[in-house]
Amino acid sequence: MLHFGEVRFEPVERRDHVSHLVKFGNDGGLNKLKTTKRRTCVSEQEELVDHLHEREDYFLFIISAPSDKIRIGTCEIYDVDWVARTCRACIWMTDRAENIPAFGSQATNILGNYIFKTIGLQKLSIDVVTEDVVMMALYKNHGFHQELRKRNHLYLRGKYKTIVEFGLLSEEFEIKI
Amino acid sequence: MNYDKIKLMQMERRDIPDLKGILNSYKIPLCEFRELNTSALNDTYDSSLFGKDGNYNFAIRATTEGAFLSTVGFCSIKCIDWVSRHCELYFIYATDDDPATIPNNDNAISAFRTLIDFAFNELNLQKVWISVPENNNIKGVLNSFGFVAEGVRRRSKLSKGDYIDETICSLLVQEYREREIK
Repeated sequence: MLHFGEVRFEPVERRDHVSHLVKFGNDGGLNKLKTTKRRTCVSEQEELVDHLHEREDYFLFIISAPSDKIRIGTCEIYDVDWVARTCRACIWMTDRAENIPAFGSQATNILGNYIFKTIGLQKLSIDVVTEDVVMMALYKNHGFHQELRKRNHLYLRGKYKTIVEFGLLSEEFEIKI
Repeated sequence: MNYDKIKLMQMERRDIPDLKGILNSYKIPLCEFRELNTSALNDTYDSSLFGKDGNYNFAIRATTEGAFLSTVGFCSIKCIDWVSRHCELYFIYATDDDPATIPNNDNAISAFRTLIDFAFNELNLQKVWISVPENNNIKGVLNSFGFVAEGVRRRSKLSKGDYIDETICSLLVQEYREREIK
C-alpha cells in the first residue's frame, strides 16, 4: 500500500470500494474533472474494477485518511504514454473531507513518488479549474508549473470555466512536508 | 500542384493505402512510434464506422476537371466533449515542398477552413483546439484563422530521441465569426 503521513492510496477492491466509487462519482465538486459527467451506478463501477488490471494506461486508487477506515477520495492516473513517458492524473477528494490542504499535499507526495520513482515516468500533468484556489495553491507549492490556460474548456453549473493545466517534470519533483 | 477543387469526404476503405503511405513516410515525426500496416488501419477504420469511436474522419481529396485525382491528406475531429462543446482538430496535408502538416497554400488552407466550418456550423461546437509540436511550423497559418496559444506543454512528446514541447492553440466560435464578418 502506498502511504505518506496519514494518507494512504489503496488498490481498488470490488468488495470494499465499489460503493465508495459510486458515492464519489455522483458527488459534484470543482476538482472532479476527469470522471464522467453522467451519474454512475454500481454495475458501471463493478465493470470498471473488473477490467482495471487489463488496462496499461490507467490506474485507480482509493484515498483513505486519517486511518485506512475512512475513504476520502480517489486518485486516477490516465492517458499514460509509455513511449514519451508522460501521464495525466486527477486527485479528487470529497468536499466533506476534513483538512483537504494537508491531506491533498500528502496525496500529491504519494502520487509524485509513485509516478516518478516507482513507474519511472518523466512528466505528470494535472488539470484544475481556476476557481479551485486550494488545489491551485497546493500544486504550485509542490513545484508544478502552469503550462496551459484552457479557455472555455469545462461547462459546469451553467457556465464555461477556464481550466489551468499544471505540469511537473521528474527532476522538479520533491517531497513536501 | 494546382487542383480545381479540394473536398473533404467521409473516409472510405479505399483511402487506407494512401493514409498508410502518408503516415509512414511523412517528413516530420508525427510522434507515432509504430509503422502502421494495413490491418492496423483497417481495424481503426472499422472501429470508426457509424461514429463508434466518436471521431469524424475525412479524406482530403483533390479533383481536376471534375475527376477525382488523388487523396492528398486526412483530417479528423476527435476528443469531442459534447457537454463542454469542444474538440481537438487533427490535420495532415501532404506536399512535396513543405513538411508542415498545414502547408501555407490555398488548397490546404481551404480544406482546413472547411474542417473548422464543420466543427462550428454543423456540429455546433464552441471551441476547437489543435496541438502543435515544436517541429511542426504551422503557427502562421493558425494565426491567420485567429487561433490563440493557450500555452506550452513541456516535454510531452518524443521525437527522434528527444523530448519535444507542444503548443496548444485554440479558437472560440465567436472569435471565428468575428473574423468572418470582417
